Amino acid sequence: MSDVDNRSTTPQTSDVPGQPPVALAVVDDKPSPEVPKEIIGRSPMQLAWVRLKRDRTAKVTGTLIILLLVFSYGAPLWAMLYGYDAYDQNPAKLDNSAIPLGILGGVSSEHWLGVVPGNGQDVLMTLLYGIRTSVSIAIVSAVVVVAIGAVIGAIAGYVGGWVDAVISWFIDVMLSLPFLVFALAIVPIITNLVLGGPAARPLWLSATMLLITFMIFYWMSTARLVRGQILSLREREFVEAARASGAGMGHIVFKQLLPNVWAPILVSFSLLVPALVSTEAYLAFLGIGVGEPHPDLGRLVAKAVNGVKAQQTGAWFLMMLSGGTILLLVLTFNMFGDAVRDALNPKSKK
Amino acid sequence: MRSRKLKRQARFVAVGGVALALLVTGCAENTGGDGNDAQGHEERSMDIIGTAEESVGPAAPVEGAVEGGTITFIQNSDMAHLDPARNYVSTSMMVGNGLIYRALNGYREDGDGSRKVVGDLATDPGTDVNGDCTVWEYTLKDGLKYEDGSEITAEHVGYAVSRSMAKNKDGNLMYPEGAQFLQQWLDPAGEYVGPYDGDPLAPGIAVDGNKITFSFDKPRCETPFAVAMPTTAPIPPDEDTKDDYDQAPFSSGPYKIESRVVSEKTVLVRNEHWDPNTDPIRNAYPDSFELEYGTQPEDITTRLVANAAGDENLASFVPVHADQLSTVTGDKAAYDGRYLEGPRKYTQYLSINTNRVTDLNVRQALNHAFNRDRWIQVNGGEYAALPNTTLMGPTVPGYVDYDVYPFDVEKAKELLNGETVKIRYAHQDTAKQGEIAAAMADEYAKAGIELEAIPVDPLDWYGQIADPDNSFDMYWNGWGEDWPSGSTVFPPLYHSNSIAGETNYPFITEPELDAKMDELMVSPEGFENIAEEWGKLGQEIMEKYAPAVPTDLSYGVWVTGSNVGGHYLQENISLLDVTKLFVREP
Repeated sequence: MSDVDNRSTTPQTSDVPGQPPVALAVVDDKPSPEVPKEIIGRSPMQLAWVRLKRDRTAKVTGTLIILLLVFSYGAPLWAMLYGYDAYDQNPAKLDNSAIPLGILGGVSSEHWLGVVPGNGQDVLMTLLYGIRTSVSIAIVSAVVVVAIGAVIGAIAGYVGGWVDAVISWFIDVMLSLPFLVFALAIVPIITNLVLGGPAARPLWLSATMLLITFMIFYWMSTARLVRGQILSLREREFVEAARASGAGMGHIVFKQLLPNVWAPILVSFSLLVPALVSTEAYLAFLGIGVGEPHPDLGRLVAKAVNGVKAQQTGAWFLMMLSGGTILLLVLTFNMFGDAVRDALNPKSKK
Repeated sequence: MRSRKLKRQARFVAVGGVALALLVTGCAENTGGDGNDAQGHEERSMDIIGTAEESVGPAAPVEGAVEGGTITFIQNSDMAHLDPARNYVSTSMMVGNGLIYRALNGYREDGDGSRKVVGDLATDPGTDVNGDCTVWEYTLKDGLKYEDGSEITAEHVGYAVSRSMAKNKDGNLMYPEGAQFLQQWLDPAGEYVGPYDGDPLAPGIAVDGNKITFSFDKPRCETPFAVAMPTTAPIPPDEDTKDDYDQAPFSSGPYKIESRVVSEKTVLVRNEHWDPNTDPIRNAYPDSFELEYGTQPEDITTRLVANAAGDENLASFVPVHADQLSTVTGDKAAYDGRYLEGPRKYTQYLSINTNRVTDLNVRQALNHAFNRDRWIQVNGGEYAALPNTTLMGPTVPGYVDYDVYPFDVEKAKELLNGETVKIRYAHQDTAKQGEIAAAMADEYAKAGIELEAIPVDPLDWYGQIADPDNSFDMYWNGWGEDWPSGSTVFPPLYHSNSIAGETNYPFITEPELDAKMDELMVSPEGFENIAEEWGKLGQEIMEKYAPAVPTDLSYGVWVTGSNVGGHYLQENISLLDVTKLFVREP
């Protein structure tokens, strides 16, 4: 007997079941062969999204991020209900040496988390506004940094040759520079250049200075990543086809190659945000970030640490609150970034 | 399974227990203290010029003092200039003039609050030869010797003063950093080029045996004070190492430099040739002093407060750091025998740039709207600063207390006609100063004054605010009188000549005021009369010109190791008096 060919798509007449040969008029109550269901094609992005939604870590951290954003960006609204803004100073809540009165640094029914030593701003509001500042600066900077890194990396990967060699060398040099030393030196210099001498330092200026500093020092890892991806992509047929049909380098890099590396770029972005949050915090801690009177998490930690060193009552509580907030932000964004990376990588075990 | 659950429970209990313990201990309540504990300031006596008897050594002994041992000072930055011609900073003057070299005159403080200017190398504070303060004669004591046993002569004093007037080829002073009062009185035209290229003695200086005479073209009744500045410390021409003298001056005092590594450590040991019977000021109990540099001010306080084993012989000129003031002053009993506090002579102001803020009403409004209590609170409280409303502080004889513009926000608004004014407030770019600026912005906003806080590099602070073209409207500066007279307060701060001298921060230029000050500076009237005139002048300046907002008077709190005794707050420099310290158990 010959075997039935199950792999072929065309129906084989020899194995159509059940129909008796000609004569008997038997009622045919077997159903006709099933029409196959419509195959829904899913793009990689949709597949990743499904995987992300299923991931428990992603659900928890994603919800947390949304909550943090709602609370921090909505801070001005809460301030109206709560009664205190992050800019309101309450010197009456401090003692003669500007240290908060009461327990735990001034915790009371009016100030749920106490007041900041020095000028007496409300701690809860300062934390919320501080989160807003940190996250805003981090996200905007991350977008710019990733864009710069992706473009540089793509050019290096696609063009190859001496351009690639020079850019790779440049990346190595930038990676070997000690960030903190240079940041401490560069920020005052650029500020002076922009302002042309001593001048007031509004919030937008501090934020721009930070953005510039991050732009100089954080694009390298994205560039390397993208360069690697481009190197593997550039020998593919579609690139050859594009080149054959006369496309220039700009079109190939920006319209053909980069859209195909969106996944590593997205991962790079989602891991950069927490890194920039913590960097912004420690630059502010050292005094070169967002200045007075604008609320900032890093500066709050610095004040708390001074208080702890001086054994002021309640300072440790402020240190835990401010440090804990930064920790929460960084951890949440990091874990969400991990979940995004896992969702985009079909080979990871889940 | 059970053991894992138990372990988890145990861990939870442990963490919870630690958290609870922290919560309980950390929940101490801050009740804020009762305030007003810090000492106020008393009027300073007019009886300040000493006699020949008071110029005779030895110095008044310190109760319970013993000889021997080593005291180590921990400091943050090293002394920039020990050269007596360039020494004009408080800690350098305390070490230089208190331990290493002696000037013609000095301040005798017997430890009972009294303060007199007496002859240090000289037999008396000075003889007014003609009775009109134009010629002053000084006789050197016998038995004065340097660290190598050679004799100190009047010629050496003359050489030292002349040397301080030496000029470079381009006409600028070779040693510009020191006090130049005596020098300007001797050579008002500034023509003398110094002993290196010109005459060995400056014009007006004459030496005859052990006598030295200063002759002036105008009456200078405050000469006894001027020659108490370090610039009259003797230097033998052979030992003049010019720029190197800054690191290693030749000793005429109770101690000499044994070793000095700049910004690390300096060791001073006894000068065996110093005779205590010639010295009415210095006790010199310890065998040696060490100065160690490089510790941050907060860490200095932490170390002194801790008083660990081996740290008992430590001291510092750096006062207790502002952050730790309330901890230390809240428990004074714990620091018994190693604690010192008191008002200092340095007064603080917010100078108003009269070139930019030209409207007197606005300057008056800035005064009325200034919340002094809030300023003191954010600066660290009563142990860091005392309120001050005068241009001349209470440490100067002739002090008059006035408050021309009391705190009154409504009055300020009235003066501004209810309008908003923008003021560019410059401050040093540090966390604390930023905080203070935010506090002031908050307070001034209540009167319709909008403060724009401008951070300035702290290293360049005095350079920036002393520039007449600066773009700021208001900025902090401090001042301490060089000697107990208004003549070292008002002319440097408010005379138009001082704009070039970089000390007239408000840049106030009023010919009438200049004339008044010029008259007082050469007045032949007695010290007491002039002192009162200066006191009243301050009130007049505030009423007519309001060039500044007086904010506070510095207050100092110092802590030392437990083995250090003889704590006294010296009036002259407002620091721990190094001439009275001793080691309890050497």
